[in-house]
Amino acid sequence: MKKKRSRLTSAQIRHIANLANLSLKDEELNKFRKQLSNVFDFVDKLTEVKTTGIAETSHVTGLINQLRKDKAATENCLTQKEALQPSLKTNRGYFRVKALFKEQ
Amino acid sequence: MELTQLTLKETQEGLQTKQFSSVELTQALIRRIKKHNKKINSFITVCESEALEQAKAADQRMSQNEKEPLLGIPIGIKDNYITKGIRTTAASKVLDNYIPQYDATAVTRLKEAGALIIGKCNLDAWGHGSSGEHSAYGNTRNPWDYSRVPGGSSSGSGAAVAADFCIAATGTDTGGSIRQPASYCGVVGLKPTYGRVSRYGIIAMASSTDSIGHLTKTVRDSAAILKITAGKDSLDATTHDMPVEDYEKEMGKPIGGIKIGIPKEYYGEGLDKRIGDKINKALKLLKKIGCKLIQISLPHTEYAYPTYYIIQTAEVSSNLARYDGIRFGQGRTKFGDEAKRRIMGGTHALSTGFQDKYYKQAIRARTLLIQDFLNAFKKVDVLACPVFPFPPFKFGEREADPLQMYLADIFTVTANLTGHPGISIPVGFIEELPVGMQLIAPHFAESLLFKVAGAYEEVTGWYKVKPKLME
Amino acid sequence: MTKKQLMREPTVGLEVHVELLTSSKMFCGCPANHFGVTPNTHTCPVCLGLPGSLPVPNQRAVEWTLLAGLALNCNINLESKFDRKHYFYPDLPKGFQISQYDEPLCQAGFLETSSGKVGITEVHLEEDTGKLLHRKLKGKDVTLVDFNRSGVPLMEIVSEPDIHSGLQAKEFAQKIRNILRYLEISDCDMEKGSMRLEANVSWGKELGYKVEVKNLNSFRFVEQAIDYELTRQKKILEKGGVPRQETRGWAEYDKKTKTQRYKETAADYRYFPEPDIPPMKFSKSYIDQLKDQIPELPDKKAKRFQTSYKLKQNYVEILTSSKALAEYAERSIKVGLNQGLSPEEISGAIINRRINIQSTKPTQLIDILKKQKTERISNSAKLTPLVEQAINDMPQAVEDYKRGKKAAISALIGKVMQLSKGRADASLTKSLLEKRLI
Repeated sequence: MKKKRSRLTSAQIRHIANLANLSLKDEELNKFRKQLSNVFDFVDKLTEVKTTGIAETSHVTGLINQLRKDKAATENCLTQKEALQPSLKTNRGYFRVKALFKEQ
Repeated sequence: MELTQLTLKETQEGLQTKQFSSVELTQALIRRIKKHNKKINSFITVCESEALEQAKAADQRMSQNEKEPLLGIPIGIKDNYITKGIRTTAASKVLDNYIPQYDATAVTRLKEAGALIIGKCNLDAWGHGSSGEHSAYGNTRNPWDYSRVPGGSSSGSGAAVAADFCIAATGTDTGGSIRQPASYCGVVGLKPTYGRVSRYGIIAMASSTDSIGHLTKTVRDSAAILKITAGKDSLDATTHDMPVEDYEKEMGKPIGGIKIGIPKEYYGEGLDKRIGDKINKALKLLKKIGCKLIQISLPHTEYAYPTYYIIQTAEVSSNLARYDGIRFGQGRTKFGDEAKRRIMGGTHALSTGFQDKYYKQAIRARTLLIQDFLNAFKKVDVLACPVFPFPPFKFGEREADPLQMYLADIFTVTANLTGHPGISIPVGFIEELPVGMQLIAPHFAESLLFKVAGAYEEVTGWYKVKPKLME
Repeated sequence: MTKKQLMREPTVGLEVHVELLTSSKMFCGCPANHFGVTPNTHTCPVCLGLPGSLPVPNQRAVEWTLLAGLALNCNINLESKFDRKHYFYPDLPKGFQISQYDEPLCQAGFLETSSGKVGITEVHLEEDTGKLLHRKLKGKDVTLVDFNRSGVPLMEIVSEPDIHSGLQAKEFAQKIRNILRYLEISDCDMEKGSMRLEANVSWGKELGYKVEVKNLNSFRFVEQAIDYELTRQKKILEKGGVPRQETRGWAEYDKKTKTQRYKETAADYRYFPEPDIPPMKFSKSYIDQLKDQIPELPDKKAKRFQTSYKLKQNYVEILTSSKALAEYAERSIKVGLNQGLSPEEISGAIINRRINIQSTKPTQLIDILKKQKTERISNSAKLTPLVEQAINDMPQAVEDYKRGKKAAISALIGKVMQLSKGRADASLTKSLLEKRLI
């Protein structure tokens, strides 16, 4: 059997799911573990390419300094009603979530 | 000829010379949708009453001699374009009942040009897919053969244009998602230069590769729409201030002397021989009308897909972080499997201990891929490449292994990584199933694409062949 | 070596977050003011993190951050960019904060304090989060979220762990505040939350831990919390233990720091360059232009006031605490120089009489002081009867003074002032009283 260089462990998948704020059932974790291991095994090919001394590309437009004048422009502002409209849980002008312990 | 079969250009002329009204046209399209869409499933939302209301208003304005370019013309909008007051789902249950509070810039521009929205087109949820099999609202079927996929992720858009449910439809292309459905549905699909059309209001997939384009019946139609959607947007810092040309201007002019590059890496073992043959035939025809065919090499091609996978999933994992169910949407438990896979893949590629090996390596490899294209364009004017490695496949054929589906993108992803514009045009049929070929041009050289593709289309007229929709 | 032996000295670093006084938010055109504003009324698709929204950076916020960095002696990165910092929290709408990671706008600066130089690691720019409120609804605890503050430009100043005491930390923070107020880029109001402080406290860089201290809502708390924390940690170290790496909050009521958050693993923010915002490139001439825009800063102004005008330290401190006040004082001094009024007299008048610098022009002030001076009774013969009367009228004060309470003389001086309708020369009065009451 071909050695899977990128075999992801269950612990790793659980950690990834955690970082990504995805709550997954055990069967899902296992399924994704296999599928992702398979994909990364293929993607590992990328490590063959020699990239020392090659610059990183984060943008392809060549644009720089796309800054906006500091002006309060209310044409794109939403009313409170519009802002809250799509939410399932609101209360008197606020969005509502489960209680968090006081941090600040 | 049926009203519904008209091209955009023919529709513009017909409306302006009052051969028919926008209401008549819209009604004809809606009738056709009602008759056939149940099977094809191009639309997640059909805006019947709104469209008819807008059609009435458009007729009124036309009678007052208003001449906006798209006045009274029904367009399909891919359901990852935010539309104010019209349900927008990205084909995911996460946004099942989301009614946005604003319009995407591309939508605003189309509306200002007089277009009316006939419906929100189906897609692979979040843009994650190349077949049209990953929507939470059911598969879209290929109008040419209902047992086969239409291509994705702009699956509904491709099918809708091919089936004459609308005069044109918008799409997005992050790794091939306009060019691929165009190829499988036998229509024209344009992926503009990255930064040509505003991404503001487009549900982000991979921010550095998402290109905002459209699917049309003809090349000239494509040029007409780009004139409207292209241009700098103060709400999108990645849009370029390159002036918007009259994209139709070069069309019809002789294409003698134009050098077409044929990248050898794209025509090897991985390509279905029948597709290779169709493309060869198309290239021979282009040679006959004056183009030069030049063999070139894009040496880093085999690294294109892994590079794309890392960068795309990394950006996807980041862009989908906002779907926490607090301000909108149903929350993260409603993500489908493919979305979860990509979020996790991207998270892994960015995480401590793996970022250097994957993400950092990928953004350096990206530079090499860009260099390949820039070197090629020193020798040639456009590139000619296949779109899919194989003809339209049957539903489920490539589902078992996600990797098999991903590898359907190998010919399209590089242009997304480099930002170059590409157009997919029909070049014939394999066993009555459409085949597309793509032309890729230097940044902002869409006029050249329209010129060459238009010349080919003029001689061949593939767009006149329509699918016979099964009853 | 044991931890106790490794224990070097108090090692404190400060992180200062400052809300910039721009008109609009960092990445959208919403109004940036949020204090006291009806919840969720200063929002838009961008700062609400709605699907499809995109950030466009505020030019003034970038410029002001560069100014702050220059004022703090930093090197400016001529190539800078924004990065995404990922974590999930209800007040963070996109699930990531647009911040700066490895190419911040400003780096490697310093600030002088009276007990030594404190290095500034960097000054960078990011966006603020929404605000959380903890309430009880129908008996149940809930958290409410207001996004008016989401996206407000936030400048972060990170110090090197060069601070050695609560007192020095307080001075550092006060100096930062004064500098930023001089630059007029923030009101640095701790109560309103436009200036927020966090401290990282340990007893050495090599001990393998540091404790983050939050909830420092005033300069006084900064000093107290850091001193408390140093003592708490010292006790643990002396017993041979190592303080736990954690986040603690200052509990004012108990005057202690208390554990807030304990995490096994450090957060993995998965930073990568913000793809929606092209990078920034500055020319050297642009940075030089900005340098020219920096006004004379508090420390320099204070030194100059001392040498040029021979003013006492406490006068200098008060006058330079506000740029407007310092400029007013200087203008007044310059007018007064040719008119027989000393810088000290003028400063004393501005400070003690709480002159309204908005309504009283410097020339007007000088006129008033001159008039009072000419009317001033500086003649011993004329003052002596008033001195006698004051002594007669205030036997208690006289007795207190004679018994050793020297401060009681102020009451007597005050009485003479009253009797002379403010025209008595204060210092002459004092010496007359002193001679008289021996």
